[in-house]
Amino acid sequence: MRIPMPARQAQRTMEIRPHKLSEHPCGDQRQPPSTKSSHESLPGETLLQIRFDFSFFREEIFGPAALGASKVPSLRVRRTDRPRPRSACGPRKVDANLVAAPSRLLQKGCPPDPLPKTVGTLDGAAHPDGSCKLGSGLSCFVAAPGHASPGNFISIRTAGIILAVLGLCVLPSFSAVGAEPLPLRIGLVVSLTGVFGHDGALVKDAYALWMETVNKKGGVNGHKVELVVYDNKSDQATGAKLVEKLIVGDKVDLLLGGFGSDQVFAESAVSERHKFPMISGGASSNKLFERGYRYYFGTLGKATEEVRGCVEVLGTVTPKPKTAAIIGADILFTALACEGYKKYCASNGIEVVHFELFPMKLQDYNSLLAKVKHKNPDILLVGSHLLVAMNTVKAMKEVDFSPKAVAFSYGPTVPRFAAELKGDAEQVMAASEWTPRLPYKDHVFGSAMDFHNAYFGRFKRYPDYVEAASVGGAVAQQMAVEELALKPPLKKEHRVAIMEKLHARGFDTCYGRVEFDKDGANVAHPPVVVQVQGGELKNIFPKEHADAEMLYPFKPWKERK
Amino acid sequence: MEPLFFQALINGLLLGGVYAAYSMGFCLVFGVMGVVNLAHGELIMLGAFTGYWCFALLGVDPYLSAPVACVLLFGFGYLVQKYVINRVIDQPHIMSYLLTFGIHLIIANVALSLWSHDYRSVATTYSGSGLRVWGVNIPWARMVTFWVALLATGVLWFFLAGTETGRAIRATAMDKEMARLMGVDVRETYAITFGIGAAVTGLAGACISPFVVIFPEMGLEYTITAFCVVVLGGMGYMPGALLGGLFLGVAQSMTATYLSAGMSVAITFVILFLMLVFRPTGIVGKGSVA
Repeated sequence: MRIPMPARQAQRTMEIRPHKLSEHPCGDQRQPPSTKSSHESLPGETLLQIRFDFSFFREEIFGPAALGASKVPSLRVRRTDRPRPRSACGPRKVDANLVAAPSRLLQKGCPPDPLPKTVGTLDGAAHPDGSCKLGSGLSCFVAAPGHASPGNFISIRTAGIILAVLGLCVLPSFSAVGAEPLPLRIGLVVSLTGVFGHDGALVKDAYALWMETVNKKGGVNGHKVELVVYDNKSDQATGAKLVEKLIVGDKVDLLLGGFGSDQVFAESAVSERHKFPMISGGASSNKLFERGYRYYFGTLGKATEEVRGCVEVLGTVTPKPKTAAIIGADILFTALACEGYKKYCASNGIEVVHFELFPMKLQDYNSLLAKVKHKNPDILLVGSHLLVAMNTVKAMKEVDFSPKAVAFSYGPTVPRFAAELKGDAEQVMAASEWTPRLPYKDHVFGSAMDFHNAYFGRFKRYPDYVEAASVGGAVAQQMAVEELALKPPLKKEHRVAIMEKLHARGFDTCYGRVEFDKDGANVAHPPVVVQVQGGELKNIFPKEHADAEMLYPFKPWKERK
Repeated sequence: MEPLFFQALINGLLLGGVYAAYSMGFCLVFGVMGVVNLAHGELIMLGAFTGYWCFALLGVDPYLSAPVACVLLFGFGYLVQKYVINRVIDQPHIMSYLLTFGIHLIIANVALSLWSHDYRSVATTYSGSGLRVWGVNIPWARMVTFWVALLATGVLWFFLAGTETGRAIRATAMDKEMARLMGVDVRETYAITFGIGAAVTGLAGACISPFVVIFPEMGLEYTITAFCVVVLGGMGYMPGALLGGLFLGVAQSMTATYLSAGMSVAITFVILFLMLVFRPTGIVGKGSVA
C-alpha cells in the first residue's frame, strides 16, 4: 500500500523566505531563513521570496541521490546508521533511514506535537535509490515506531492520522488563497554573489522597490506581485538551470531579466523556449538581439549604441580631438562597447591610434596605461565595468597620463565610483541611459526624480541607470498585463499576448520611453552622457536635457590638488 | 622608446615589490609547515580592510595603521593555526588544502556580509602621485610598499637566523621530530609561524590599500599570484619570495608593454608551468621540492 502524496501542497509549505528583505546595504539576502507557506502573507512582511538553491551544488558533490534526499535545505534530515528494531521496519523497507524533525514540518495551524515520532519508511520501488524527496513527497514520512505492522508499510489508522495532520497543514494555505486574490508571481534570476554580485544585487533591489510600490497601490489588476528570486552566482549555466526551475518547478507567471550580458544571454535562451517574455534592464550586448528571439527585450540601448553619445559629445568641443585610444575588458559587454567606440570614432573623424582588449583579471594596469600614454592619444575611451573603471583611473594617475578626455562605458555612473575615488573621479565621463533630472514619467513611481527619491528612501543610496532601466522594463511589462486585463495564474496564450503587446506599442516609464524593435532592442531611448563635476554626476548630453556644460579638456593630474 | 622601456622596468620592479610583500607570508607558512594556505588572499584582504577602515573612520594613514593590521593579523593567524589548522597538520596534505579553502570561503563570506560587495578605495592625498625622474613616473605608495617588502624580508631573515624563536621555527621546518626531541613545542611554533606569516601579509595588505581596489572577494586572485611567486622564487626559501616577485613583476610588465596586457596574464602561467617542469626548486634553486 502506498500513501497518496499531496505533493504540490507539501512542496509549497517548504519555501524559504528571509525575515525582511534587503536591510543590508547591498541587499544581501543571506539572513536566517524561515519556512513559510508561499501563499500565506504575514502582515507587514514583504512578499518577496528568496529561495536558496543548493541542489546543483549537492548534485555535483553527492550525486543525484543527495539532491532528491534533501531538496529543501532548511529541513533537518538526519541519517542514522543504527540498525532499527524489527518492529519499526517492515521487511520491505528500504535502507534510507531518514528521520525528520516534525516540528519544523508542521506549520502553524497544525496541532502541537512535541514527540519526534515520524520515522521514514519508504517504498523501495518508488525510490530505488533509497532516497526520499522531501519537497514533493512529504507524506512518505510515516508512522511512529511500532505502529507499522510487519509486512505492511503502515497501518490504515496511522495513514489516516497523517493525512489528517497534513490536511490541517495545508488548510490555512487554502483559506488564505480563498480570501485573497492569487498573487502575480514573477521569477527573477540574478547574480547576488560572484563577479557581478554587486551589480546584480542593485538590480534585485530595484525590482523589489517596484514590487513594493505596485503592491502599495493595490497590485497589478488587483493582484499583489510576488517576486521569486534565485542567485545564479554569476554563472551562466547555473542561471539557465534556475530559469528552467522557475518556469517548470515554481510555475511562475512571468519573468524579469537579470544583470550581465553573458548571464542574460544564457537565461533568455531558456525563457524563449518556454515562450516567457523576459525584459532585462541590465544587459545590452548586441548578440542578445541577433538571435531572432521574440520573447526577449532589453530596455538599455545596444552596447555599441550606448557609447555613441560619448564620442558624439566630443565632436562638439573645441579643439576637436583627432586621435583616440580604446581599451576595454575582454568580456561580451565591454568588448562590444569598444566596437561601438571604434564605429563612432570612424563616423566622427577621430583616428584610433591604439585598440586593446585585456582580461578582467588583469592586475598590472600601470604597464597598460603607460603604453597607451606613450601613443599620446587625445582621448581615452574605455569599455568597462565598475572595477575596471576604478582600476583604470588609479593607474592613469600613477603613470601620470592625462588625455584631453576620458570616457567609460559603465562604472562612473555607480555612485560608489565618485565616493571612493573622490577628486580623482573629477571630469571623468561616462555613457549613461538615464539621470533623475530627465523629464520622464509613469503611473507607478511618478517622475524620474520620484523614483530616484523613493529608491534613496528605501535603500539609502541613489539609483544608477541600470536600476532605472530594470524598473522601466518591469513597468512596461506591468502596463502590458494591465492593458490586457490579465489575472494570475497566467496561461501560455496570455504570455504570447503580452509579448505581442510589448512589440506592438511603446510605454512611457520613469526610465523614459520604451519602444521595442523587432529584435527586442529599445529604439526610443537616446544615449545620455554624464560627467563627474564636484563629486556629482552632471548630465552633459543630449544638450537639450543637459544640466551642466561639459568640462574640457580634462584637468591634468599634476594640476589637481 | 627609451623612457617607455624604463617606465616598464620600473613598473615591473614596483609591481614585483608588491608581489613580494604579500607573498612572503605564504612562503613562510609553506616552508615551515608545508601548508599551501589557500586563505592567504583573505589575509591580504583583511589587512587592506584594516587600512581602509582606519582611514575611513579615524582618518589614519594606511601606512601608519599598517602595524595595527600586523598585530591584528598576528593574533588572528596564531589562533587559526593553534585551534584549527594544527588539528590536521599531521594528516595528508589534501586535508590542509580543504581546510584552508574552507577558511578562505568563511572569511570571504563573513566579510561580504559585514562590508557588502562594494568596491572601496583609500583616497589619500598622495594616492597616485609620485616622483618623476627622467620621464619615468614612480608612484610614492608603490615605492614605499617596495621598501616595506625589502625591509620585511630583511627583518624576517634576521628573525629566523638570530632569535631563539626563529631557530625553533627553522628547526621545526627541517625536522619536526628532532625539534620535538630537542624540547621545541612544535604546535606552538606552528602557531607562531602562522601568526608571523599572517602579520607580514596583513602589513602588506595595509600597504597596498592606497593603490588597489578593495572588496571582500579580492583574495583569490592574490592567492594565485602569491602561489606563482613562491614557486618562482623557490618554495619555502624566504628571499625567494622577493626574487620571484621581482621576476614575475618585470616579466608581466614587459609583456604588457611590448606584447599585450592579455598576454601578461598568460605569461604568468607559462612561466609557472616551465618552472615546475624544468626547475622546481625556483630561480636560485634553493626551494624545497616536497
